[in-house]
Amino acid sequence: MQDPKVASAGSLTETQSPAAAPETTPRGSAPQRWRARLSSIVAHIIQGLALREGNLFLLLAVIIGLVSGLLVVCFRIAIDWTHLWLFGSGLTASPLRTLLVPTLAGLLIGVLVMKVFRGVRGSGVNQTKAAVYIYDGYIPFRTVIGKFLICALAIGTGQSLGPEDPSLQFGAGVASALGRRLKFSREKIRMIAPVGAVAGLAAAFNAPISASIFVLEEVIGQWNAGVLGAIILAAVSSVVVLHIFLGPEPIFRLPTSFRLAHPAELFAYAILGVIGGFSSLLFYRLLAVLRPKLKALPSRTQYFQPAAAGLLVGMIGLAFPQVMGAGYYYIGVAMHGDYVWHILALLAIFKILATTFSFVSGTPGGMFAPTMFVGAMIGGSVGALERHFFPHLAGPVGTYALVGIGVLFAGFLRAPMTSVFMVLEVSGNYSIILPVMVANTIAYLISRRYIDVPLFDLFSRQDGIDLPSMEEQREELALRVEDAMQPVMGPVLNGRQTFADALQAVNGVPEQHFLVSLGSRGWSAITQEMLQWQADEGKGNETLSTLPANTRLPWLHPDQTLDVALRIIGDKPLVPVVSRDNFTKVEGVITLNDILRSYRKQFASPLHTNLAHSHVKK
Amino acid sequence: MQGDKTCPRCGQIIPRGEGDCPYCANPIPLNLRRETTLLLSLIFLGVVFAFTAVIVRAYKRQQLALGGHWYTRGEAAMKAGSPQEALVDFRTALRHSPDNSAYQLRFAQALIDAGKLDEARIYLIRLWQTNPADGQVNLELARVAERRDNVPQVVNYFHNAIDGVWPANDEQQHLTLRERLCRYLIQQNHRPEALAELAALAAQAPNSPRVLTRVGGLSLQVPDYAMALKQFRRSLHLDAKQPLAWEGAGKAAFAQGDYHEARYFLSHASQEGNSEAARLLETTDTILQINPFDTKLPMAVRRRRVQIAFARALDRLQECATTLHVSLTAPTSPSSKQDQPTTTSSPLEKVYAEAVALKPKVTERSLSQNPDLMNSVMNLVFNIEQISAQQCGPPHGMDLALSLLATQNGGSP
Repeated sequence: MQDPKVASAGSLTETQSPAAAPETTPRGSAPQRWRARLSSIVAHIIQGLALREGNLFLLLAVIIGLVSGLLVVCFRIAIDWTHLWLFGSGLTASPLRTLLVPTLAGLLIGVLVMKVFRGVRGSGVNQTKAAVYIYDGYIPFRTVIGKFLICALAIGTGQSLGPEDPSLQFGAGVASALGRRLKFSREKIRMIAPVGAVAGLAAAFNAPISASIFVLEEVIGQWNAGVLGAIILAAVSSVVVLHIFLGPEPIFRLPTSFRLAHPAELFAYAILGVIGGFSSLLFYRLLAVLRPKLKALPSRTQYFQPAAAGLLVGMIGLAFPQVMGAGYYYIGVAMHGDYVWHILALLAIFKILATTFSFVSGTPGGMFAPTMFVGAMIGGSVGALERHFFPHLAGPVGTYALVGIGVLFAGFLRAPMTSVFMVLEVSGNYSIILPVMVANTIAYLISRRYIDVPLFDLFSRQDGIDLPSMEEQREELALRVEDAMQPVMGPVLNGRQTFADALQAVNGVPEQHFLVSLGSRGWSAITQEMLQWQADEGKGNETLSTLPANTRLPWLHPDQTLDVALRIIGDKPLVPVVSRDNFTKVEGVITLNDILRSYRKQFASPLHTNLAHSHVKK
Repeated sequence: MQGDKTCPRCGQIIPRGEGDCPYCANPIPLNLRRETTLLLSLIFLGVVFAFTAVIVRAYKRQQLALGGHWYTRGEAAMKAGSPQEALVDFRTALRHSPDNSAYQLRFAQALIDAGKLDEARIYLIRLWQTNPADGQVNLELARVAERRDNVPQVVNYFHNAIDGVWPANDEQQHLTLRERLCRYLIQQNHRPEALAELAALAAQAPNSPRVLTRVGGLSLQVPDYAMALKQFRRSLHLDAKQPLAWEGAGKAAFAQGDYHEARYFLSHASQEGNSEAARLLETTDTILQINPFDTKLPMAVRRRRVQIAFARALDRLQECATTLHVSLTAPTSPSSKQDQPTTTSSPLEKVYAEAVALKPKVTERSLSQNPDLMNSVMNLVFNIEQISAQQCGPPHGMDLALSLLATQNGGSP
């Protein structure tokens, strides 16, 4: 049973409830006494059951997961129904429809985005990040509704965008709304939006692990143990809902076997990594150049930009209807090796163009599905070519297509961990870990070599928002205690020494503060003046262990960061740096000045100057 | 940028970047307790769940209906003999109902019918990988292999199909498939494999007269006459009113050289108006009338039959020579025979010379004195029939009977 005091300290109700009234000795008649006792027991039970904020956070994560899962299910159906309604149920629509539907829908989207749902423009990932870092976890619910309606219309009418990014924002929006209604602390509200984002993304991908890793990698930027449990619960809940309603099948139909046919095949995967890396570069550059140009046009043109994009996508769709919409069905087709290599290559090129048109026009929608499409087509193309020239070395084309998806995730979206886990999770096969790692790493390195700012950071900077770059954060050099600490100059005194002996030992030493080892009781420090004063007071025969508790010192280890050291050092004159395997063994000392000197030194270094410049350039 | 500030109306923190308090701007400015909000959230969840369930149900129903619609169109196209058109329809049906195995199979069949054998094979292999025990998928793969003339694969997939899982009546399915495989192997002239399948089929066949007759028929085609006769007998034992079984049994017995039994079966078959049986019965009767090797006959009758056979063989030789405009003249003396090089004489002349040489010995007396002579005479008769058949076409009537006797007694005709 929970301690009532603890429960009341963090209970749901901060105002005092009648049930929480202090227990008083019952007086009066026997029935009154019994009634009072019963009331007291009920009060205890209610207090025991009351949810603390931490537990409520986890419960809320489950609710968010369930609601997000339901929204994603409805969203997928909404996209399909839009498509069916406007294009018919056939595999391809008539040329007239292929041109007219995305164009006219683009006009409607333009009006909706400019007049009704202004907040839906832009990337859901960045909007969630902005909610975390700028708006205290606040995502307007209007944006969620707007994203749902406009993205369903856009993707259903063939704009080359994906449903994952909106799904991510549904989750974040729902989480934000519920977190605010439940009056969580600011920190918790900030954290609940990414939890919702994971739920939405997990349901959209049908891949809870990849979604969790993506949000940790790209939105939160750190493995926060406090939020990890909630993320997992939300991801699992949303995927369970998806399975209940739409079944456990992956988003695209997968072949049954993935394998590495021959170790020499790794060379082909390396080539795939190179091609994927440079394709990512092309895709990125198109977006980076065209997006600000179109945004800079007069605002009245923005009403028509989605329509123009729709027309262009429709024109591509006349020859390659596969590039219209999210394209999951055709990813499955490519994975089964049903296309020849040059068709796959053409599909990849035209998908890049179609997605660029759709995205830069301001039509809301995600980049994940197009990234997967392009990756699958490039992978399939490389695999089919290899099969053609080296049939005895090549494995199934589907394996290449799957690895290609990971390659584009690593090269284009710059999410290296997600790229690996996504392929493994989607395929459910760990035997392709080697090709995935080889190809993804190469694509990631090429992307890093030629692209300074990752895609999502680029979008946020183009929108004039300075969101923290998770990649930069990961790569920032952390200064450590060992970089700032100094060797112990004077003698280290022992707690068993008398003040007189200690005074004699430090006599003539220029240092001001001396460390005192108190054995298992830790460390303390004393000045020469203090020693002299103790001797003058007639306490010369007393040992240093009698030093008052307020002179005790915390200690640090060499590998700890200077951020930790700053928090620990406070107003202490110095802090001993001790060995991790024996805290009585001192390796050096550190002072506030040492820490500041180290920071100054780092700021003056050329590497840091570069980083600072890049930050200013933003 | 705005700093942190609280709403003067409701006391909530206004998020930075927001002009108005989002809480007050809400049309329902509720300031509920957490428990109440949580309860309302759960109720909301239940409502959304129910709504989604209704939506999903309608969606699935619609997808099912669309799948069915395109499938029906595909079937119509298949019936109209347009597999290309059917392909598109089936593919669309599969997009709406991707897991429908009937659609998958029809799609594969359309691919085969459209001649897209590689695509069909890839598609079927994919289905096979999902469910290797599916009898229908294996059968379709066998069909593809059949079209590609890959006999080992046909046999392999047929075996998989036979041992595979079928929706209903497995036994009947197994039987039909093995029968198909036998027919295929017979057609491809793979006799040992066909015999093995036939043995399995015979062992598997139930006590059904029709099935046994069919098995007998296949045994005749392989040919395995003993097996055929056995199956026809089993069949007739179960149901005697089967002209095909009578005919088959007759043919099997005839082919085995058991003419008495053949006569029995064929006479039953010919009574049903079977002309083939009647023709064969006639030949059987002739054989029975001229056969000199029937040990149940008295020696005198056998000798007489040898003489008749010899005379008939000589006539056949003459007729053949006349047809070919070859004049057959008997050698006048042994010396002249030696002068004439054997390489220049035609086969007809050679056997004629032998016949002329043997003719004086083919008398009742000589044959009774030397019973071994009967074999020599009959060998020559068979030789003449063989050469005549080679030179002048297939024999008829008594010549045919003699040829068949030759075959039965180790001759080559």
